[in-house]
This record gives sequence, C-alpha cells and structure tokens, in this order.
Amino acid sequence: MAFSPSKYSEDHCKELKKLIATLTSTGEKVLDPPVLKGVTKICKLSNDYVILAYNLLMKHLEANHSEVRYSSFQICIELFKRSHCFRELLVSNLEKVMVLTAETDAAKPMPRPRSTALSLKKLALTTIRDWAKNYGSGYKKLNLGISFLKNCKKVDLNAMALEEAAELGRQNELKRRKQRLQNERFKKVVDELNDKQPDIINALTEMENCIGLLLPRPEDFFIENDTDSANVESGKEKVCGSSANQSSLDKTADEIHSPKDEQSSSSDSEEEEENCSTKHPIFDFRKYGIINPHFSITLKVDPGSDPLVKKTEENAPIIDSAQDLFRVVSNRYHPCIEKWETILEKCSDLEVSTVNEIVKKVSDLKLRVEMILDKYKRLNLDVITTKRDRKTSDDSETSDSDFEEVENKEGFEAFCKSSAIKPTSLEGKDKAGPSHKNQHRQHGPKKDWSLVSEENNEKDPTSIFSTLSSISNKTSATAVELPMDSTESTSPKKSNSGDKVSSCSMDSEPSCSKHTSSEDIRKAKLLSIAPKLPFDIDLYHWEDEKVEAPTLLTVKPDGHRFWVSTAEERDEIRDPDGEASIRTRVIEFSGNFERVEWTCRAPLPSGKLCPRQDRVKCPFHGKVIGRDKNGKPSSKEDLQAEEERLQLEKANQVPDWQDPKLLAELKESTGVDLQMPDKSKRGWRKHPPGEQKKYVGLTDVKAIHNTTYSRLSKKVFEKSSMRRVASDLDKLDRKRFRDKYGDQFNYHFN
Amino acid sequence: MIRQLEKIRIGAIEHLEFMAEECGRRARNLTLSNYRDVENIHTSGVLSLDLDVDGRYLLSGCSDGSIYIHDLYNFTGTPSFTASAEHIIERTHKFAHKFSTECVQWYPRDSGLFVTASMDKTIQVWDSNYMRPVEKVKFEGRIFQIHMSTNTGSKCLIAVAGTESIVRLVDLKSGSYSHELRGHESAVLTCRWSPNQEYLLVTGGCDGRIILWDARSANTALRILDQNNGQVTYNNKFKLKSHDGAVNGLCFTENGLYLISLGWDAKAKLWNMTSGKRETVEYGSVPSEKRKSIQFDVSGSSSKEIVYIPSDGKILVYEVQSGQLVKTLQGHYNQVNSCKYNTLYQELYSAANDRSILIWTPDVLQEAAYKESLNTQRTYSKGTSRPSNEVTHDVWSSDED
Repeated sequence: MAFSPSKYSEDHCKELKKLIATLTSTGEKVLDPPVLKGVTKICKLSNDYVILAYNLLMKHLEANHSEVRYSSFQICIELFKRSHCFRELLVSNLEKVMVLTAETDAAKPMPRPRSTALSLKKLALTTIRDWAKNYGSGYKKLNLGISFLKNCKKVDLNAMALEEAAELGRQNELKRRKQRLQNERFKKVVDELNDKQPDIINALTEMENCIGLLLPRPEDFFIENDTDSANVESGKEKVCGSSANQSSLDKTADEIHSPKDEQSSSSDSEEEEENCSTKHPIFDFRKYGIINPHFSITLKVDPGSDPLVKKTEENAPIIDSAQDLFRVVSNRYHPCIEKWETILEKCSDLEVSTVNEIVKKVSDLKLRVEMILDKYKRLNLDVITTKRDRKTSDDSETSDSDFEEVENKEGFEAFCKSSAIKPTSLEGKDKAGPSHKNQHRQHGPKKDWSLVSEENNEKDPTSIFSTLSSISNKTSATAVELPMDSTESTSPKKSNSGDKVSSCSMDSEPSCSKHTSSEDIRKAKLLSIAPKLPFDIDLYHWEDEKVEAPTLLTVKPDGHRFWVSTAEERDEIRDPDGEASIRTRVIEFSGNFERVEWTCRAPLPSGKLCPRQDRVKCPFHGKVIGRDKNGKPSSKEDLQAEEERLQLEKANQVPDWQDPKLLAELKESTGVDLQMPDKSKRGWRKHPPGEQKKYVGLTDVKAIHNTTYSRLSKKVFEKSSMRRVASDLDKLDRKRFRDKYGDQFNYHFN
Repeated sequence: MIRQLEKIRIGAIEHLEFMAEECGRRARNLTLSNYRDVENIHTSGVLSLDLDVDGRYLLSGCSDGSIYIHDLYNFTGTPSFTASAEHIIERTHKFAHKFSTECVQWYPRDSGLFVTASMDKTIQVWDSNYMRPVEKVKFEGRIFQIHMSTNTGSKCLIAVAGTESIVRLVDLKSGSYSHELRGHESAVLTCRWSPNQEYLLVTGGCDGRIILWDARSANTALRILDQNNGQVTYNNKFKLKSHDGAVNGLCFTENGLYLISLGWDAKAKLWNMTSGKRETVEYGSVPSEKRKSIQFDVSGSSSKEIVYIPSDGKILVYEVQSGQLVKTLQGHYNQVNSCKYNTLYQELYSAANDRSILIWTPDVLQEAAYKESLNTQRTYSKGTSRPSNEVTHDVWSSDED
C-alpha cells in the first residue's frame, strides 16, 4: 500500500494508542471485540497505522507482566491475519517475539503471573505453528522459525498438534454423549406427555367446570339473568346516598361473600361516595358537580379469612371434587409439568424438529394449570377443608377411646390405684399450684436443678421415680413410715452421706405420692413463700462434718497434661482456701440495669447539642458534665477543662489551606494534589496519597512478593542482623571453648 | 542491466566494468532465498563456514566438533533445491574433534584438502576424498582461528591464533610449525593473510591490538595499528590500541588494500593497508554477544565494496568506503557466527547458533518468475487450490469499514 499522508492523522494515532493500551490493560483472556474492531478499523486505513500498531504492540510485548503480553500477542494474531505489512514486520522480528512470548531464551524468562505466562507460551507456539502452516509459503522466515523451534528448542510441535487433536476428540465425544442423553430424555418426556396429557386435560376441564359452577363468571351471570344485573345496578343507585350497602350487595349475590378482589373495582365509586357522605353529611358534593378534595379511601382487603363460597348440601359434592382435583393437579401434574419443562429447556438445542412443538405444548399446559390453580386458590376453599379436617380430628379424639380394657398387672397396680385414688389431692395441688407454677415459669424452665424436678414426677410412668416408688412400695414393710419421711424429705438431716442421690430420691418420692390433702396445701403454701437456692456444692457437703479440702493438680512446666509416667508422680496441692472452698457459696450480685437518662449536650459545630447518651464519658467530648441550656458547663472547673480541650482540638486541626474540600477542588481543576501526607500514619512515605493503581484489571504481580514470609525474611536475613547473630554465636562458641580447653597449652592460643 | 548490455554491445563500457557493476548491484540486493536451502542436519550451532575454490562445496564446522560438507550445485532442473550434505564427520567419528570446531578452511587451490581447528588444541588436515585426517598438529593452547593464505604465490603457511599469545605458522609441507610470532600480550582471537601480499599477516587479539607481521622476519612485528592514527603520543606503549575491547574479527577487501576489523567495543573499523592508518569511515554500531572470533566477508572487487558483518541475529550490510548501511538481513534466530560470500554467484552463506545455514541470494526476479509459473501450473492442475501468492496479501474483512 502506498504512503498516504492525507489519511495519516494524529487523532487516529492517539486513538490507536489508547485502544491498544486499554486492550492490553484489561488482564482478560479474551479481547473486547468492539475495542479490537476499533484497532483493526484504524489499521485498515493505512499501512502507517499498521507500523505504528506494530511498534506499540512490540512495546507492550516487552512489558514486565504476562497478562499484558498475552493480550498484545492476541492483538498481534488478529492483525497478522489481516495485514501483509504487519506480517512482514512481525516475521522479520520473529526471534524477538518468540523470546518474549514463547520463552525461547532461557536467560530471559517470562514475567509473572506464571499461569498466564504458561498459557501465553502455549498460545504462541501453536500460533506460530499455524502461521507457518498457512503463511509459510510466503514468508520464509516463518518456516525457519519452525525448524528453529524444532531443532534448537526441542519443541515437539507434532506432539502439540496431537494433544490438541486428542482434546478436540474428547470434547466431541462429550458433546455427542450429552446429546444422546438429551435425546433419550426428550423421548421419555414426549412419551410421558402423550400418556398423561389426556388425563391432565380432563382433570383441568373438570376443575374448570367445578369452579365455574361454584362461582359463575361475570359474563355467565349477566347473560343468563338480566334481572340480577339490574338488581345490582339498582342497588348501586340506592347505595349512593345511604351508608349501608354491604348488606344489600350480599343480598343481591346470595352466595358471594364479598369477593373483595373483584368487588373492589366495582365498589370503588360507591365507597367514595359513602365516605364523602359520612364526612360531609350536609353537602353532597356530587350533587353540585364538585369533586371533594378532602377525600381518601381506605380499603381493607383481607383475603383468606373466609371462603368465597359457602358450603351447602347442594354444592358439597362439587366442592369435594374440586378439592380432590386440586390436590391431584397441584401435587402430581404441576410438578410433573415443571419437571418436563426443565428437561425440555436443556434439550432446546437438540436437532429434532418436534422440540419446539413439544415445548410449546408443555408451556401451554403449564399456563393453563397455573391459571386454574390460581383461580382455585382465590376461591379460598382450603378454609372449608381445614375446618372440616379439624372437625374430623376432634371426632377422632373423642372416638379413639375404643382401646381394649386390660387387666391391671400386679406390679403396677399400686401406681394405678394411687393415681386413681387421689384425684382430690391432685386437684388441690393444682389449685394451690398456679402461683407457684407461674413463678417457675417466670424464672424459665431450667432455672433450678433439683433432684425432685417436676419433669421427673413419679406419676409419669416413664420416669425413674415411678419405677423406684413401685419397688419401694413393695419392699417397705409398712406404709406408715412413708408419710413421716415425707415431712422430712426436704430436710437433709437424715440423709446419709453415702448414697445421697438415691436416698434423696427415695425420700422425696413419697412426699408427692402419699399425703393428706391439708398438709399438702400447707406445704405448698410454705413452699411458695420459702426462698429457694439452687443445688450446689455447699448443699452437697451440707451433712459432711469432716470434709477434706480439695486438691489441685499442678501443671508441669513441660506443659503436657497427659504425658505423665505414673499417677504417683502427680503432685497434688491442697486448695489454698481449704475446707471453706466447698462450704461457701458464691452468689454473684448484679444490680438492676439503670437507664442513662442524660445526654452529653456538648455544643456541636452544627449548633445543636450532642445527643449521645453515655453513662460517664462521651467518646467525642470527654466526661459527661452538667451543662446549661446552651451547652456551656455549669461548673467553673468544667468550663476551664472544656476550654483547654477546645484549644487542643484547634491545634490538631488541619490549617485552612489544607482544607480537604479546597484541596479536592484544586486537584480537580489543576490536577495537582497538594495534600500533605499524614505523618501519623504508618507507611506514609511509601504510598503518597492520591497514587492509585493504574490498571485495575491486571493481576498485581508485586502483591505476590509481599507476603508475611518475605517481609519477615527480609528482616531476619538482613545483613546486619545476620552478622550480629553470627558474632554472638561465635562469641558463645569461643567462650565455651575457652572454658573447656583454655587451660591446656596447645589450645591456649586459639 | 539491459542498458548496460547495450552499452557493452556498442563498446561504451568494458566487460570488466560491466561485470563489476552488475556484481555490485547484486551484492547489495541480497534477500533470503525462498527456494534454496542448505540441508538442516547440524547438531549444534554452526561456528565456521568456508567455500571451496569452485564455489561448490560448503564446509562447515559445528560447536560440538562435527564437520559437514554440503554440495551447493543444483542439478535438479528447478530453482527449488535443498543442498544435501555430501560428507558428515559426526562428533562420534573416531577422527572428529573432541571439542568445538572453531574454524574450517578449504585448501585455496582445490577441494582435495581442508583444514580444521578446534578447541581441543589441535589442527587437523583432512583429505576430502577419503574424509580422514592426514595430519594432526597439537598446540599448547586452544585455537580460535586459523588462516591459509589465498594468494596464489604463497607458501601455504597456516597462521594459528589461539589462547597462547604467540601466533604460530604451520607449514603444510613439514606438518609442524615453522615460525612463532611474539607480540600480543594475551590471547589472539583472529588472524588473516593478505590476499595480495603473500608474506603479510594480520592478527588481532584480546589486548585490543591489530598487529601486522612479515612472515619472513619473525622476530619483530611490522606495525601495530593505532586507533588514533599516531596523533596521541603514548608514554606507556601498552596504551597503543586498535580497538577499545578485544579484536575478534578481521577481513581484507578483495584487493587487499583495506582491512576491516571488528571488536568487542561493537565497532567496525576500516584500515588502509598501504599507509597503516585508520580511515575516517564510521560504521554504525555492530553489537554482538559473541566474544570469540567472528568470520565475516567482503564482496566486490570494484570501488563499491560491500561488507557483511554479523551482529547477533542479524547481518548488517555496509558499504566499505562510505560506511553506509545498505541493508539488514534478518533470518537467523540466534547469534550469527560466520558469513561467507560467494564471488562467483554473488550469494552469501551465513551460519548461526540456531543450527542453520541460510543462503542469501540476489535472484529475486528469478524466484518471483518461478513462483508465478508454479502458481499457473497449480491453477491448471487444481483449479480449487489457493494460489500461494495470496498468502502475502492483505485480508481486511469488510466489516472493518
């Protein structure tokens, strides 16, 4: 192409430069097509631009970042495809390109990131091979390059081709398998569809009819009996003035229970007028043709409260069948159709002519199903169903007492009797109980742990107590002792130090089981008053006259808790508190939370007072002190302290000429950042403010360097520190040497 | 060219003049030959090249010690031709050099004999008919370059430059060295006999000096070439230098009147052999990674001589007298070690570390014609296939408007 100065313009050059810069700085593996098109567009104008592009690209290829190189090499590929001039240039300098992209010179390894470098290498080698194949006849040096790669760099281009072919084959195989699978699935769906479609359609039409019967559509209404519509209209007219329209509406449509969704539109005007009539009883604005400006409507839409249709004997079978159908459709057909749809979605790229047809069929079906389901749901028939269900469940409760009567077994009779005998005592307990129980509930379910918990009641046949009680009943000689025990059940005096848990349980058991009602009531009263303590270590040792002070196991300095040779070796230390440590109980007292009722009220720059509510100290204005209306401290000392604080603040403030807003404006207008570095912050020297990352898309190569390891090793392996450590070690060695052999003659002078 | 032919016919110019002009023209227009190749069988970088007196056999020595002889004559009848190797002395051959073959040279009179020098401190004289060494001369130091005088009247002394600072002259008749030339202070990298004065030898060494010797008076050097042309007087005689770095390449022009030298200082210098002075010609920078001797060549006997200087992967073509860069030959992928110009056919052979020998030819028109004929043949035989010259055309797609 001839040199054409008229076409060569600076603008194009600049644009080309910019485009190439943007393309190479994205860090993406795929070039942005519109930007690339811009490049080729400019290059097409003249060979001068091609030369410029070549020079720019070579510069970018030399960049110390593999991603930049990758992108620029991709641009090279695009231009190489198109321009002879570019080919000449590139081929003449192919050895350099190969060094930069294919790492042919071991002394000049490719920059990081390594993964991109490797993929670039692969790309470059395959590309050069392809170039040689396609353009080798025109460009001798390309062929030479291939032989260079083969002979000198031992690059096995054939193996590369093989590898590629294998990969391609693998992909094809995968694709074919996928397609076959899809085909099978598709066929299955079609079969299923053919099977089920009539059923579904039948069910749908049935359901539609049911709904239509239950709730005729407005068109059906008006066509069939005009009188009704006339009634409605007359009703509307009547309503205008009067406030009660709801009842009349109810009358007109006897089975429709204010179907609000449908009604809202029709009743809008009515309610408006109703409102206006209620608000302005004297003036009926409408009569004068004035629109009332103070006018608002509130519509309460409360769906789901009532079914739209009353169930009567006449429509019961219809409702039932509709419900059944709904269940079938929503549970079986709908998910089925959805499944088909998802399968068909995946099969959409299949090369079967009927795919679209089937897809359309299924989607139509789905649409219809969803419409009908929606309609049904709006009918709100579920309420009826649930009501009915509830009723049936109640019935079952009442009627499920038809268990067989079984004779009492010997061992369990006592329990049965006791529970049967003392309904009164239980009742009494229940009567006395509520306050007590309420208290318990207030404290929460797991407040106190006691052996006699309410959950482990021996009336509960599943609990251990019931078993124990039955056994004890058997073993005990008389039943008289038991009530005596029961009186002392809570007092721990009698309980032996031996088997406390069992004895406790044994004691407590009769207290609940066998008691006269009067004592019971009294005890319950007392219990409700008596203070309670949770069971703790002091109670545990309450009866023990002699208690050994607990011992502690020491942790050995080697720090291992388990690796101890024998148990004797463990040295146990007596608890310094001694016996007292298991006699005393620590009860933590936490006071009531006291709300902070005051605010800081220090004057703010905005003129307001600080609204912070801190107990003692405001994080911004220091100690919370008494202040007057304007926020001035009321006491003199406070005033002085405040002034001092303000002065200090002023001193720390940035000077006027460093006002951040002003600086930002200046920077915007002039481009010069005048901000002073904040010397109080770390690293201000390294990162001047305003310096931002130039290219966001590229991987930060330096960041890889900046690891904790590298930072530490920089310090540890610093020359001076190494020297220091080495000299210290040497000194130590020398000392040891002198101590050992210093007295010997032949070592003396070392 | 046609006009020149016409001039000859009418007797306006002489035959020799025409020949010189045409040769010069061709020597300037070298390009990488598209259809002629040298068979690529070298097992490592090619260090040295030489062409026999008929311009038929190309001798090359590799850095692994192997030696190759390629037949460049094309008897195929088509311009497309790959010169195959006639003889190969592989590195495993029992007579092969142990280390790299640094320098090879044909006997200047015929192709029955050639000499190779190696880093294994030996020179071998080979009988090319039997492909076996007839003489082996051992040296103290490793050898960088040898040279036999091409002058017809010379006595066939082989000058040997090596790591020893002494340049030795080996007499082929006796098979041992006859002279020792002492003058360099360190290793001698290169040596050349003058093509027109049979006793004049030039050597260049690591001390940065080019020394002229007369083989008849071995005790003293004729002259040390001074890069400042004697305008600076040296108190210390060691400061007298020809190059700032070592001198690693020397070449006479065909008439022997001028000497071109290459040094580590990336400079090429032209010396007048009659005056012993440096000419004021400035060649461009000739950077080269190579530190050992570089062989380069000069073409043309007329006033417009052309020199081919390897510089890394390129070959720079300069006009000798003006120092003007004529062309840059790019084709090698690595350091070019050696260039040899074929005066008979005006072709250049270059050898490089990328294990290839490339042929540079001026027959551009011929090749273009051949390509065209090929294309027409192809279109006749197969109408569908794409003509190969389409490869070099621009392919801009229409959507880039």
